[in-house]
Amino acid sequence: MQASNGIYGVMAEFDSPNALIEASKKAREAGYRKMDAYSPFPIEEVSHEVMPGDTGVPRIVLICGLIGASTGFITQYIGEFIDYTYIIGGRPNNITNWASMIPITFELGILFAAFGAVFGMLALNGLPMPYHPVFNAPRFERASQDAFFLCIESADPLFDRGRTSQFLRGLNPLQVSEVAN
Amino acid sequence: MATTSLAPTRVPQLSRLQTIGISAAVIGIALLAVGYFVVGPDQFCRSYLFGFYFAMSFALASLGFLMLQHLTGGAWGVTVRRMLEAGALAMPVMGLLFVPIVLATFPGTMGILGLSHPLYQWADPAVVASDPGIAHKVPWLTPEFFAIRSAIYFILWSSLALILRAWSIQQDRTGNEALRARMRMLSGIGLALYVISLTFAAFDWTMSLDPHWFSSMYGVQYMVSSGLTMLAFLMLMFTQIQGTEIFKAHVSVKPIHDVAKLMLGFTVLWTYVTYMQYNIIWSGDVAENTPWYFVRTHGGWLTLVPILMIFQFFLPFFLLLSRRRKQNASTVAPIAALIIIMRLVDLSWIVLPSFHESITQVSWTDFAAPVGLLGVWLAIFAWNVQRASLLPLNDPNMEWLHVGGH
Repeated sequence: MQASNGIYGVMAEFDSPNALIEASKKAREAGYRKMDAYSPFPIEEVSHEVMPGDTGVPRIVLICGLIGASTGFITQYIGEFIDYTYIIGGRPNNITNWASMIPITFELGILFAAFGAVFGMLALNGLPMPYHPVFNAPRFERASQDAFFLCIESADPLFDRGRTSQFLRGLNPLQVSEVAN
Repeated sequence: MATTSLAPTRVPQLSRLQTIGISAAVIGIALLAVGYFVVGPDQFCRSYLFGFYFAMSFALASLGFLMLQHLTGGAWGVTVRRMLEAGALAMPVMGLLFVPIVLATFPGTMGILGLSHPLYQWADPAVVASDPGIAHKVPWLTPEFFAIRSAIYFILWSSLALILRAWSIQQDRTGNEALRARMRMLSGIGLALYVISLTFAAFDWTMSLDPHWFSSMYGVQYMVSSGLTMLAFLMLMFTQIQGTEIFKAHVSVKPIHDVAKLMLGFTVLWTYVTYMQYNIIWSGDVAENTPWYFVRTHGGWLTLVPILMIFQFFLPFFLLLSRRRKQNASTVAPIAALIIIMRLVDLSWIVLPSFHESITQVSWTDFAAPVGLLGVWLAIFAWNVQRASLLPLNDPNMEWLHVGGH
């Protein structure tokens, strides 16, 4: 957030998901990178435009999943084959028994991966966040109902208060407004 | 929505595929015919059953996914519908191809094929008389009832395939909106009957090769692994048809990504059912269940197990995790090809140990039969895909392809 601009960014409101897809595509083509879109439901094409590439969550999920799976396997291994080597039902108590340990291995893998997905997503989004400037935009509460917003942030190197507003007005929005910091 | 009548899409790659299918059918069946005299009628029938079971997984999965996509809608459904219809339309021919197996089951008719024992042990009165474990199952496992059941399966599957195709073509011609609801209704009923009939078909055709053994997961395993086979096949087809005008005009990357995601899901599902069947039987450790696995882990058959674990689960699973790779049909295609090859390995491991105690006894006709019978299916598939528009453009579901969302 550049203090010289004094504002968080410029916000445009659109009336349909397709208009938002179109606008985010044009903004990307115009060279804007620091922007975000707000819509009542996820629109894959828009996230592709405003935040292309990897969000970082998939890698966290994979690593957590692998840690969970190894935790599941190793704790069972220690329990059954090192600390309490009981023979149960005539089954071998050595590594040839590995297949019987798969359910727990799998389940801990899934559990840790799910934790990774939820908490990783929260952390990367910087949540919980008690204050965010976008809520200063007029009618922004409609973003969770029926309105579609595109915000170009003042942190973008191409950002210019006048020209960026001009640009967004050219995308056929319902309204364009500056967002106070 | 356009209501103009749609013309068939001409795709050179598909006519080439038809030629490949016909060639594979001719070569495979010719080799099988030579095999009849070289390796004998018994081995001929066993190989034929194996090849039939493999080819049948493509036809069955086509029908299953066809009904599923009528129920769920979605961009991937309309994109692949014509291919699924074409694959399911092979059902009546698959029914005809089943006739030799019926002949080999009846002690009265097995002489036509030159057999001295029926293909299935339970069809042999001498075996039944000396084995109370099999005699116990005889009310179900008789040649007559076996033939009647199979006839019912094929009549059911053929009717579903033909009716759904006819309505879909009618929709192409007239754009009648009521047809969508009608296809959905039939698919709902059809899918329930499909799951039941497929389960029993798997029990009849290959599980009963070892008449003592039983597993309630066996039918599910065949259904899931057939689904995986067909998804991999669809992905290979995408690489062939994605350059066509009609595809470029209507299909974005989303349906391809969706089919790749389904491939990942079905890879995990295959692993789950295959493993759970083993784990339940291993944990139960009951004498009438374990021999099936004993046979499949001795005589060299154990070597296929790590191959399946690595190439049917670990490798496709980790490769398909990447989002970017899944969005491009060309990068998923090698994984799809690997999956189809491993499907054949998996079915070999499931079916062939019932015939061969040792993996070294596998006959060359066990390779010729899947090639020949899959060739027949492939030729019918390619022919039917070319007889209609490649996308059902008059279907209201086409809007899925043009708006955001699934």
